[in-house]
Amino acid sequence: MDEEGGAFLVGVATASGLPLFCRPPRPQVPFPLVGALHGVHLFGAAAGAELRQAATPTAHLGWAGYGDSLTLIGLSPGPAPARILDSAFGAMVLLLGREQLLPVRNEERLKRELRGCFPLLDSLLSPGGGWGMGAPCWPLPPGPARDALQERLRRFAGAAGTDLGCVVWGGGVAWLSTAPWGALPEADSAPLRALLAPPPPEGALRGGVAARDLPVFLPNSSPEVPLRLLQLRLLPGVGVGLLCGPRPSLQLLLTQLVPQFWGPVLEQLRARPRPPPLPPQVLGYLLIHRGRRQSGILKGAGPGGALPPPLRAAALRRLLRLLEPQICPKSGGRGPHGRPKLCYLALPTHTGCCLLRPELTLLLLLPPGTPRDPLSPTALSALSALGHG
Amino acid sequence: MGVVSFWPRLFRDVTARRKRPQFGSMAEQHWALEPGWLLSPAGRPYLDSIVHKNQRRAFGLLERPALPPALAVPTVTYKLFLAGRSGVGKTALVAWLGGTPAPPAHHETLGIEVTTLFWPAKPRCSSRPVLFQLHLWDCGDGALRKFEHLLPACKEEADAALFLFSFTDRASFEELPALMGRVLDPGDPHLVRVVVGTKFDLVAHAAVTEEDVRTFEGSQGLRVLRAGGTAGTSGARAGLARVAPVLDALVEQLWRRDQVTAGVTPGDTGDTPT
Ligand SMILES: Nc1nc2c(ncn2[C@@H]2O[C@H](COP(=O)(O)OP(=O)(O)OP(=O)(O)O)[C@@H](O)[C@H]2O)c(=O)[nH]1
Ligand SMILES: [Mg+2]
Repeated sequence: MDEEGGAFLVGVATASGLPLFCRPPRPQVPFPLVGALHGVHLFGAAAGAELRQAATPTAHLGWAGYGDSLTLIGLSPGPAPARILDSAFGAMVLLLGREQLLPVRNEERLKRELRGCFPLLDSLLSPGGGWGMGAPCWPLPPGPARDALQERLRRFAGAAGTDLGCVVWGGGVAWLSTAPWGALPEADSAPLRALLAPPPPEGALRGGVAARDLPVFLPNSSPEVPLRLLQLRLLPGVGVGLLCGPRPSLQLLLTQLVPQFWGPVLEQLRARPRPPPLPPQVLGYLLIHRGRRQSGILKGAGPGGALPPPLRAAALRRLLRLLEPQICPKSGGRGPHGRPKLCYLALPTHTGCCLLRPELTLLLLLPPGTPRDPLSPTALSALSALGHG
Repeated sequence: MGVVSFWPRLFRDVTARRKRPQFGSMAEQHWALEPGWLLSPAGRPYLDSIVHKNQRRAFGLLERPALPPALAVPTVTYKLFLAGRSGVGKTALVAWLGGTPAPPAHHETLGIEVTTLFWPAKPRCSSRPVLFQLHLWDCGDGALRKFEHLLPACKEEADAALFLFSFTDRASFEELPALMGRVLDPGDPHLVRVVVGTKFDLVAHAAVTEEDVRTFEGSQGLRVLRAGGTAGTSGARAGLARVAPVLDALVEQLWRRDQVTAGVTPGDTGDTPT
C-alpha cells in the first residue's frame, strides 16, 4: 500500500466470523486474511485483552468491536484507522439506524442492507476523502450578504418546522448553516456533510436529481429513531439541506416553500462564494474547532514553484499525521487545556505551521523556505479570516 | 435538538385491489400532441433550450429552460412517481429519460429522489407549443417497504404512476397487477397509469415476450412503453431520439387526461386513444 493510497474497511459478524462487506471491493482483500485478522482480534478478546491497533512495515491495522456483534477492521497506509472505523460505523448508523446493526440478527439481510452504505463508506475511504479533509470546504465569509442569507435560511427552516438547516455550494466548497445545525456534535454533522456534499465527481447531487427525502438516523443524537434529511437543489451546485420531522411533505416544500423563500434570491445564490481572504502565501488550511474540521485548498495561490494544488490535500494530510501526537497528546500538559503553541515544520516541498489553542487547531500549508519569523502573524490573520479572530 | 422523532418501523400490509381498465391502445394519428415534434425542424429552438454543450441540461428546482421572449410558452407541471421492485430499473429509467449517466452498478435508492425534466410538445390544435415540466419521483423499493411515510409522500398530488417491470425478469412482469393493487387506492381514479418495460436493450435475454406484452395490454387496457439502454453516451441528440417516443407518450397521456377533465375532449369510452 503506498502512502497516498486509500484505506480498506472490512466488516465482520463477530460471532460467526462471516465477512459482511469489504470496501473498496478491489483490489480484493483475500478471504483468509480477513479470517486471520478477525481471528487475532477474537484471540485477544478471549485472553481478556482488546486489540485495537497494530502496524506492519506497509500498513496500519485497526480493530473496533461494536456491541459484541459487529467488528470493523481497517487497513490503512496512515496511522489513523481508529478514526476511520468510528466514522464508518457512524455512517452505517446514519443510514440504517443502530437497531438494525446491533445486535446482528440476520446476517444475510444485514449484508444486503449494508450495500446502501457503500457510496458513503467509499467516499470516506477514498484517498481524497476523510470528510472535511477531502473537497475544500469553508464557511461563508462574514458580511451583510451572509447575514441576509442566514436569516432567510432560519425563516425557511422555521417554516418547515425545524431549526436545522444549511446551504451548500459546489459540493461542499462553501456552506452556511443555522446555529443549531452548527452546534450538532461532529459525530452527527460529519456524515451528514458527507451525504450532502460528497466530493467530486458526485457533486452536489447525482446527475439530474433535484431533491431528495432520505430517512436518516443521527449517530449521536438519534441513533434509533429516524429523521428526514431533505436535500433541495435550487441551482446546479447550490443545495439546501434540512433535518425535519414528519412534516412538511416534500411536495409542499417543492411547490410552496422553496419558491417562496428562495425564488427571490436566486441571483444572489448563483454568485459563487469567494474563498475566505487568507494571507496570500497560504496554499491550504485545516481548521479543527471543538472537534469539527473544515479545510480548504487554495487553487493557484502561492508563488511559482509552490506545491501544485492537486498535491496540497495530500500534503495537508501528511502534516496532520506528523502533528497528530502534538494535537492529541496521550498525556502531558499540551492538550486542550495547555497554553497556545505554534509548531513549525520545514520540508523540502512545503512548510507546515500549526497553531494550537485550547479549543482549536489550525494547520497551514505554506511554500517551502517560508521563514519562521512571520509565521505567528500569518497564522493569526488566517485565523481571523476564518472567522475566529 | 428542535426536531421531534417519530415513525415506528412498520411493514406495509397490503391487499391487492381490483383492476380498473382505463385506457385503450392508441394509434399515433389520434394523438392530441404531435409525436416527434421536438426533434423536427420546428422544435429546434425548444430542443436547444433543454440541451447544453451537446448534453441534456440538468435543472435545479428553481430553474427552467431559457427561451427568447418571442418563443415564450406556457408551462404545465406534472408529478409522476415510479413503482417497481428493487433493481427493476427505476433510478436507471429516470437517468435515461433525463439524459444523465446512470450508475453502472445497482445501488439501492435510500429514500425519495425527485428529478425535474422539461419536455416541450405541441398540441395539434394549436400553433404554440407547451412546456411540460415533469417531476419524476423515484423511491427505492427497500426504503418504501421499510418506511411507512414514503408511499403517501410519493402519491401526494401525483398526476401519474409509472409501474415498471423488467424485460429480463419474468417475476417483475407477473407481479404487475399486485404491484398496481398495492400502490393504488380506490380513490385514485385521476392518477394516470403507465406501464414501462425496462432493460429493453437486453431483449436478447428477454424473459418476457412480445406476445406476453400484447396479452397484458389487452387485458389491462394499458399501453406498455419500452425503455432501456444508456442515454447520453453518444451526445444529447442521439439520446433524445431514443427517449422521445417514451416522453411523447407520457406527456400525451397527461395532456389528454387534463383535456378530458376540462371537457375539451370527450372522455374515454374504451376505444378512444389516450
Ligand atoms: N442494460 C440495462 N441495464 C439496466 C436498465 N435499467 C436498469 N439497469 C441496471 O439494473 C440495475 C438496477 O437498476 P436501478 O435503476 O438502480 O434499480 P431501482 O429500480 O432503482 O432499484 P431500487 O432503488 O433498489 O428500488 C442497475 O445495475 C442498472 O444499471 C436498462 O434499461 N438497461
Ligand atoms: Mg433506485
